[in-house]
Amino acid sequence: MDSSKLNIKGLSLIESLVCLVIVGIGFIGVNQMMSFATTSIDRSIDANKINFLSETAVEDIIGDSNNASNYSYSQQCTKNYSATSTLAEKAKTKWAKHFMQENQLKINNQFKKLPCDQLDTKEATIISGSDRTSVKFKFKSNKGKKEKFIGVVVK
Amino acid sequence: MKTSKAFSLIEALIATVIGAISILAITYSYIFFNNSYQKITDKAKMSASGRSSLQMVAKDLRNAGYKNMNYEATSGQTWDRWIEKIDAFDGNKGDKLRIWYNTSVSDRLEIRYYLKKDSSGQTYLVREEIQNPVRNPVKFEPKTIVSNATDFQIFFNDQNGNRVNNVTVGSDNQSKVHTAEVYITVRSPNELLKNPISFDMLNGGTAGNFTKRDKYLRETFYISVYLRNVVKL
Repeated sequence: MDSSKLNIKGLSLIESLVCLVIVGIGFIGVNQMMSFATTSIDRSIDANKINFLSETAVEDIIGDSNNASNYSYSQQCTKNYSATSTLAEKAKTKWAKHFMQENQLKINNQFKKLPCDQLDTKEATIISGSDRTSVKFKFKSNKGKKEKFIGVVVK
Repeated sequence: MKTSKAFSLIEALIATVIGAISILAITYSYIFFNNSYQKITDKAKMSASGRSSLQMVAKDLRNAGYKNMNYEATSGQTWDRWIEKIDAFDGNKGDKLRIWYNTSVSDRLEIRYYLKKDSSGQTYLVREEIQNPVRNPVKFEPKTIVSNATDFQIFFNDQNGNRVNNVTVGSDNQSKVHTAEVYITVRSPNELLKNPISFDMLNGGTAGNFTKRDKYLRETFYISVYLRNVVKL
């Protein structure tokens, strides 16, 4: 037999273990990517809901534009509106409920709530001038990093 | 020839263990990636159908009651209908919404939203158009806008923010509506949960709520719309 053939060696144990570790790191990377994608799609669903909730608030103000100045609003993660006398107060109570996703879907007897941090503020600012009234609505999410903004002249 | 050796027992055992670990890791990863992919695509579908359907309903609600400035009522065409809601329509838990508005001086369009059941008992949300609903109605086939909808609820409020019930054609309550609240609960196309969990569809009230216990995921999308045309009628 040709002596050069006898020197052909396969992978050593160390080499194959190193190879296994590299492939393992690759799998962990893809695993992390999948987890990130799942979190992202959850955030995307929440962002959808936030868009509609912001529209809800602005629609309510447009529907009562003569009293727009009564719609100043600020909320973090606790529901702090519960008055039910004027239309503005009722609307704000309704927003507070819906921003917490109350009265919608209960999963295993608990309301499915939007994730909320102290920096996730919801604010309606009314600016009244001599000839026009405008509304700025901000809905912050993702620990204050994301902001949905709607600005509209209501009157 | 004397120097060529086969694998020793230890080498063969180590190779088998490494091979087994690799195969297990690959199998686990495949199952995990497959489940994650299914979850992500299903959630994306839920998000897309929730968004597009709610936008469509909101757009139609904003048009509800639009009366052309030059509208001329011909015989049998009185302006008596612009919005209607029927509770728990067709044996389903969801509501039926009917909206009418002018598309020209003499023509009207009627839009209907309601849940339908397929042969397996699963519900889906459809939108149906009827041109000239009062005079020479032309019906179109209902189009599915959410293929996996568990619930569809509508509530009307008056100008004082109080709930208005019995909003039907011919009732005075049709003129009292000021805002409409819409809830659409969308279900994932595939079973994504390991174990069944219970979902209570409250969606705005306690009267029509119901519970489902299964392995599907669910999300509720909500919007409130100011019915500007109805208010100005």
